[in-house]
Amino acid sequence: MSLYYFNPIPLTKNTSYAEVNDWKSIYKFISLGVGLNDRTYQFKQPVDSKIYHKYQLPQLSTTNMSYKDCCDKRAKELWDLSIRLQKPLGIMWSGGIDSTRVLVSFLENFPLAEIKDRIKVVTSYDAKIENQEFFRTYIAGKLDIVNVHTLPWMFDRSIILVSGELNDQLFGSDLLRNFMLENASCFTAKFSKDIIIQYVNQRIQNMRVTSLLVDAVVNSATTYGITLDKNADWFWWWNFCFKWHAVCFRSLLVCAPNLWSNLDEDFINNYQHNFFCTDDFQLWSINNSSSRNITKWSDYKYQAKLDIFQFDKNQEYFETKLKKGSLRTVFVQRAVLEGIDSNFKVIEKLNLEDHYNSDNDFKL
Amino acid sequence: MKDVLYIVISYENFCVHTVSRNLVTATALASSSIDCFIQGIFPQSPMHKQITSRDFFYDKVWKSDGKAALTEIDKSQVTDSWLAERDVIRLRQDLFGLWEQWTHNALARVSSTKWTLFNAVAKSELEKCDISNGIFTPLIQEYARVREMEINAAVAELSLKIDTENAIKFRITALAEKYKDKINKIMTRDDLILVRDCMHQDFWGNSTL
Repeated sequence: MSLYYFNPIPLTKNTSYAEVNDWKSIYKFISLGVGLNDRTYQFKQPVDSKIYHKYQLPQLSTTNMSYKDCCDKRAKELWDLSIRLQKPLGIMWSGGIDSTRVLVSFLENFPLAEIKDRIKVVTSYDAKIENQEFFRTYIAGKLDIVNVHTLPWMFDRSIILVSGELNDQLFGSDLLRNFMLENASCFTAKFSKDIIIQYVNQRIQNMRVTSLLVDAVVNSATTYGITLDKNADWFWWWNFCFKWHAVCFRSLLVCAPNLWSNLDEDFINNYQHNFFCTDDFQLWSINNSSSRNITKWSDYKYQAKLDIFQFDKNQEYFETKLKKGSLRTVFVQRAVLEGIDSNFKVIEKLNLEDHYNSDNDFKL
Repeated sequence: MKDVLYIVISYENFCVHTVSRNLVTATALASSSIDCFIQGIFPQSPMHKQITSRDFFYDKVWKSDGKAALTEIDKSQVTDSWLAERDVIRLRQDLFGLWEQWTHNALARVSSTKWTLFNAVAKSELEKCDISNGIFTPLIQEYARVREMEINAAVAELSLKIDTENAIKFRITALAEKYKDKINKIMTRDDLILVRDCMHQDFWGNSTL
């Protein structure tokens, strides 16, 4: 059975397949917990994985939509869904740039009185600390708050969950931060495979595997029909094309066992949404490479920060806010699922024997 | 060592298996199927100075008189099975060290107030408020005033803080209990490695998804 989501950690343990050690080493570059999935199907791993049709790459085309246009359109789309299903929207707010941009999209497009009835803010105290002014001004005492630590029990169709996931993938990658620190001079330079190989191999320490990964990202971009112009583009495409799919699924992994049977196609299409997961956003990202051409890390996701600033006028947040991982708050010290198969059946414990793909790039 | 030391004593022969400076680790060690109990050795006891590490109870065999005194006895006076049990407890203690650190570190990250009773008192105050009718206790009103916040915003902030910290601490405690049981089933070094790896994944690994 093909997998929509897999955690590589259990798959790379206690296995007799010779190529698994090499396969495992690509995850030294990112994190062993993030299962990559090339959305152009060029990169073949020892695990039988599949892309869910809703999370495929869009048909390549140009677009005139701005980032703000995409946000406005998406907010209206989700608002309409909430009216149609007669269920509130549960906006997951971490206080970070992505989820704040999501809330701003609703606050800009709908009257506060209606928002109060339709939106619940799914959050935690860490979020309040991360964006205190926004919490005080727009959330505390004004909107209903649901504690994000009850997320495992929110998969019961009583609320439409909306996360700020995938904005990272639109703007580049958090991996760019280290690359920028170590290679400031060539960050915005013309794409050089040698520089990327050298950088990636410092992590992977296996030239065959490094070349395989770097080439896979380049080939996938070529297959899709785009050119990687700058070094930063390689990281973006890796995140946009290879990591996107795992990010789409990961919030489901904390679902409480008594609600596992709820996780089906209807649930994915109606009750769990990543705000930035639309063709409009993806085409905006593909057609606006300038949004990734930054010279300092504080400019990462500049357009999203600018939109927030134009709404809340919080100069300090605009000038100093840096990307900070927030998902760990939800996942840390929590039991999580290891896989989801292409029938949306959850898998508590993964075993490579059950999902082995012999037609893979790692075989010697 | 200036703190109270906790020795783990066998019910079989009243000989000492090991010592720990940490009460939670000592009680965890004693909560296995190995029949034993803990006893505190206070700094004023003459034995306290002599016990510099747990090896003190590994190099030689010490017997408790059930009060505060310990007497060294010859190894020939204990059974091989008791010595094997002592080895198992020592092995488990190795991993309980990590268990203690990780539990402590996980809880430390959500300990936000110097006054440890704050959340309990705040929760009780919030329960006395009738928020929909605008009735708030003096403590809650004062909190909002000091924080320079609207009272509804202060209530929302406080509730979120308490619920967040309680939920995380509750979960961490459940995890600690789970691994206390697992560690107390360890019999070999291989068992230890297996449990250690799972414990690492559960404590920290899932946050990198």
